[in-house]
Amino acid sequence: MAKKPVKEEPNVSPGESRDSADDRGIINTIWNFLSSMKLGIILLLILAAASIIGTVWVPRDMYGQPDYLRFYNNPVFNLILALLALNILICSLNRWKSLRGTLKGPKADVSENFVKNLKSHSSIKVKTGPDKAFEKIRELLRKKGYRVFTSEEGETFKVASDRGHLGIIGPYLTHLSFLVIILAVMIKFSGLAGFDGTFVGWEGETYSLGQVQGIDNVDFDDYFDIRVEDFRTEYRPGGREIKQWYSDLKVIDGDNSYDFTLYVNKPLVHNGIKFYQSSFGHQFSGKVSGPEKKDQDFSIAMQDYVQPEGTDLFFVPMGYDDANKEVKFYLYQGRQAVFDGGVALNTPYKYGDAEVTFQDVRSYTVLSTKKDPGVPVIGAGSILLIVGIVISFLLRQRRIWSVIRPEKEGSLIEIGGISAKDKRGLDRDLEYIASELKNR
Amino acid sequence: MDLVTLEEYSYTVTFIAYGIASLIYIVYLGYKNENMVRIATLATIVGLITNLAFLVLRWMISGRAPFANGYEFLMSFTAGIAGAYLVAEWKYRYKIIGAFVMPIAWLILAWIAMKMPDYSRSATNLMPALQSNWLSIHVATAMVSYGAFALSLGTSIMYLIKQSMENSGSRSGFSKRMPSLDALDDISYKFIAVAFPFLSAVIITGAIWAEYAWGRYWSWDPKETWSLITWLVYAAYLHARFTYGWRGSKAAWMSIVGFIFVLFTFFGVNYFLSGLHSYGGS
Repeated sequence: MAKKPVKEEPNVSPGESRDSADDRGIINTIWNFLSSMKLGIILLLILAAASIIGTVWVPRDMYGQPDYLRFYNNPVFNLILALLALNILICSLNRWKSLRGTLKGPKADVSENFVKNLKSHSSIKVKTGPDKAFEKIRELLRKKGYRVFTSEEGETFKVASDRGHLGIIGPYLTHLSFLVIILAVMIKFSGLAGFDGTFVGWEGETYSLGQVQGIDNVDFDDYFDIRVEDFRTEYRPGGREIKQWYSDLKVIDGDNSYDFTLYVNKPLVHNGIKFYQSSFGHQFSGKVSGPEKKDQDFSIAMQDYVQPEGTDLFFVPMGYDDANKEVKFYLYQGRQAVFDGGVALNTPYKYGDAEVTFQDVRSYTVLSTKKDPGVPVIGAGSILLIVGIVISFLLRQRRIWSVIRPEKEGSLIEIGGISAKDKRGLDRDLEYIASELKNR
Repeated sequence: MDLVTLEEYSYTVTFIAYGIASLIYIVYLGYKNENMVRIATLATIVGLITNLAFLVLRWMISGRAPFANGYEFLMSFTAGIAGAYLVAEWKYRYKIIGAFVMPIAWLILAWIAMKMPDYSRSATNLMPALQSNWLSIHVATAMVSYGAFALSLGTSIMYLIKQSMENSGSRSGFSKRMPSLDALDDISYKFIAVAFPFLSAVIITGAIWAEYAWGRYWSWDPKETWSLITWLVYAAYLHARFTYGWRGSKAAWMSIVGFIFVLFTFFGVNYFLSGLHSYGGS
């Protein structure tokens, strides 16, 4: 889809003649090319096409899991983004003048032919003199919410007017937001600020921030300690579905120490460092016995198994329900699952000749840990984006010009306008003004 | 009557109401009768009310916002389409548009009835990552956005049909009763102008929620990426429209292509690609 327009690129540079060999000509050509809207549209479509490729041809990591980032972090993709950013930047600089012009308002001093050549245009003859007609048009335009500018040349009156002129700020804000968001992403991937890491903490232990894997770009003054009081899994009634995972933490940072219960969708933020519930694990200990009634002690991790001697049974603990002090486990006979459920701590569970008693559970929590100073920047960019788009669509600029000159027994009014985004609204306004003028 | 039965009824009534509305609007294409088409409007209103009632009942039954699985997303989508259509009818008074928009909503409901097994339609609990208020805002904005995109699809198709009929010199009443080409183009654009900011909001609320849930505002998950692709396509449409005056048939084609991207983001990603949004499919 994006391939075809690329061929048109050589035609893009308008204005400058391309055979002018002097440096200035070349620079202008490049400048015009980089600032052209056509390049912008092509880049949007190339970006879309490249993004599609990344969802179809997905790189895998060493575990065979999809690694989306690897595709989108490659230099070619970044080059497209950089070109788009450059295009937007130059485009915005180029249009600065027209932005200022629009905010100032249209010039009233235009020729009659200019008005006649406007796409939406009409000529109206009225019996009143030009000065009266002029007053009337001014009044009607104001009534419709237009800003009115005027000029006079002898007995000829000229009017220029616009409404929705602030709408031109919209695209500016939208494009600025894109640059802001790119900036935030650059902050993240520069490696110069923030980090992505992992915190693993056992219940009852205290950790220093230095023990977070991957920690980087954090001032030693900002270091603090975290004590993991408890990790809890909450099950829904029925005991099968997991409702939530909680990590009860104590943040130890001098005077600024407090307890915090973290769960999915409720991260902990301290000194700009964020912790998210990401994973967990348990170590189960207890005893099993087989037909010989001889107790074997065990201590195994979650999803590991214990096999009572003399049986083909495998107990595989899967989780722990803290509220009911119940160990969730599977029981396999050979490869066949024969039980899926829970048993309370220190309560024996019997199956045939075999028996298991879970006596203790120790849990650890895994928190993804990160610092990304780009996040507030992204937030600001997002707000700018929405505000910009809403302004662009809500405030639709309409401009109307009119030239009024005396004619036999009255005056001739040439009136017309343009609106890129709301031609129907403009035509309605013009019709309204015309009918009001004729009604006199 | 218990809530679950009531909820089932509300689905059925919505299905019938949208079906009747679609049928009458289509008949209206060839047979002009204002009293008859009034019934279609009424059926659309009834359908939208029961459609919304479905969502409220689902909310009451599950104790959470009704935006957690494919069934609930689709029911939100159809409400968005019917809502967008009623706004367009009220604003522009062209009932003929209904023939090109309401069948989309009805077909979605028919697809649910035929293809979606009961177990994936039941009210299930939310997995921890989905327990966020941002989810509700995320899906509510998507409902408005996708509904408005669907409407612009309908008017774009009308544009192309009317244009080809005019080009071939057809003088049928059907072509005459369609809004003017200018009006169709304008309505398409206006609804895209509503849908696009909402689509931006869908992407941003999704990013905020991902930041809270996973600590990553953007992870290039296929669903995220496809929503961005859709956004880029419509952004290209808007730029082409303003700078190169791409109106009329070019704009209509772009709006149709854009909607294909919307549909792929909604359905295709779940069926052809996998990712964090995998729960959206069932």
